[in-house]
Amino acid sequence: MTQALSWGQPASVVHARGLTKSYGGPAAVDGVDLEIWAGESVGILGPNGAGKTSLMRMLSCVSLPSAGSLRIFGLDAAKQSRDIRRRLGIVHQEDILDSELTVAENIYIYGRYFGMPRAVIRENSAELLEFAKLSDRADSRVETLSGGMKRRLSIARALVSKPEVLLLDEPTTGLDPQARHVLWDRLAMLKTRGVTLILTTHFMDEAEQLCDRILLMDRGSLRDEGAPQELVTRYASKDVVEIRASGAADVSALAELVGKIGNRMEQLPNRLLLHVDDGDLALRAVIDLGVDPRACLVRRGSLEDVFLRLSGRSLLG
Amino acid sequence: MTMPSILVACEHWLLQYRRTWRGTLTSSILAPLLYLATLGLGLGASFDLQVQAHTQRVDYVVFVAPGLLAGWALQTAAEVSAYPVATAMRMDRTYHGMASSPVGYRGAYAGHLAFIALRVAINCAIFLAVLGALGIVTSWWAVVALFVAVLTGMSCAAPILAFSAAITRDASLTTLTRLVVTPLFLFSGIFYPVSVFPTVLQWLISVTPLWNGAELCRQLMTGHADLRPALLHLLVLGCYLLLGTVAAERMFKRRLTL
Ligand SMILES: Nc1ncnc2c1ncn2[C@@H]1O[C@H](COP(=O)(O)OP(=O)(O)OP(=O)(O)O)[C@@H](O)[C@H]1O
Ligand SMILES: [Mg+2]
Repeated sequence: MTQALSWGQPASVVHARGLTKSYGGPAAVDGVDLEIWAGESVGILGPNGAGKTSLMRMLSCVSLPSAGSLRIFGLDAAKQSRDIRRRLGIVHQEDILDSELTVAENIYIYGRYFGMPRAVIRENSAELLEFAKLSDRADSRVETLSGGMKRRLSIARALVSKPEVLLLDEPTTGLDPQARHVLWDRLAMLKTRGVTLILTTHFMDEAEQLCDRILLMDRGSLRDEGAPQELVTRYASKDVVEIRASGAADVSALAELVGKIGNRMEQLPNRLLLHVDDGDLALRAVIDLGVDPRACLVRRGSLEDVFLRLSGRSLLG
Repeated sequence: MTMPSILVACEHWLLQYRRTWRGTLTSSILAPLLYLATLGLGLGASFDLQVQAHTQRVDYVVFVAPGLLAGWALQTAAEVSAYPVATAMRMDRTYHGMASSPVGYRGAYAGHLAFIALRVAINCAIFLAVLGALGIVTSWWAVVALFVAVLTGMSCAAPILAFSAAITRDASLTTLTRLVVTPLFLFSGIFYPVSVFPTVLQWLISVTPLWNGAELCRQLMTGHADLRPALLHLLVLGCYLLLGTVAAERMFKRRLTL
């Protein structure tokens, strides 16, 4: 609470200590300590089964922690979950929609859940339908929507209550590129208005676009965190040379050949990644060794490389 | 759990009901008419049946009508608190949506129970209106019987809702209908006095919600209600409602806060 009152310091939105969730077997979330500040946008990355959804559901005050303490907005999540949820917008990994109701009714009833007056919901709803590109489907039953349309509706529905914190579990899975960009723009806009974003994603470009801070999660624990660029510097290099190969044997042979170039090498099933400081220089060296230039590609080091490196080392995955 | 949560959760079901109420209304009027035609006019008149109801012998239709009212409350309760609940828990996951909002898991089950009470009340009121129109019911005690019928329906609906929220396969609902709802309907003294059964069975029947509801409705509608037994019947019904609600609370918590 002291943080909320002192000048210059943003308020604590999430304060978790030893947060744990177990479904009977080994803990899905295992003693997570986490601090998220108002206005931040935080991405949680990790392989399938890492515990991202389990963590998100606890932060959403939907799922009850098995152990540990959790405060959201400075309120105790165990005792004041209702007051907390009033201020959250939640997009679950799997769409939760009322399939027998229409698109407009879905937004309407969700606003009602938050105690919003009918007139206010109707007022907001047109704009949300526009955002979700569902204006012309407002009176269609949800059953009749495509997968991506349902996803867009789920997101629009979470926004109806004008939440202070938005929790999005793989929000863009199933969206076409255009819809993805529309969502990114929207989220960026919300962020400028001070909305805190907490999201999980398997799209590294999305994490790089949207997040100030990335949490790397694996087997229920947070393994590292930092700004996207920090993580790239820490775990990858400025540039990456990618060499396509036709199979594992070919990759090994290539690795033998070019192994001395660059800081580090990553062997994938049919690609070889060279982490280097200067991509063009390294590319020339690779070609000089007799590698077909058409199989080579130079690009910037990215979160994807961080993720691949960490899962390759089995820190993740 | 607060009043607004229950109301907005109930509003969800009303929104859905808006689309189907015409269809359900037709069956709500037709079903009691069919029962009364078969049992009262068909069976009762064919055999010129008279039945002992307390101290008085009455026409069969007068005996069976209050029982059917309570039985109709059970039928309605079973219909609206089985499949819709299972669907909202596992398919549509409507409850999960509510649990992610300020409504919470408590508002989710309480709001649904409120809606179920409304459905049961509508159906029972129609049934009574039909009885009144046919001249089978003349006493104003029928209004009290309406309250008892709704309570009977809810004392069955709450445990059924808890059960339907707990199951993992829809087939369990068929089992519920076959092994619980139908036997209750047939053996709770709706169609004939339970005195025909051996004492042990009578005891068993006397703790079922439907028998207590049917018995009290009959006493009220034939003008033979005594306070003490009436309170006992209400107590039994209240217990089922309470236990069912507690079970629902636990089931909803377990499934929605996992
Ligand atoms: N309802 C549940 N009951 C039992 N186990 C569960 C349940 N939900 C999740 N788990 C287990 O918890 C672990 C973490 O799952 P979780 O869904 O949190 O992972 P995730 O990081 O979101 O994965 P993904 O990227 O595939 O969405 C997994 O081992 C999973 O099997
Ligand atoms: Mg997940």
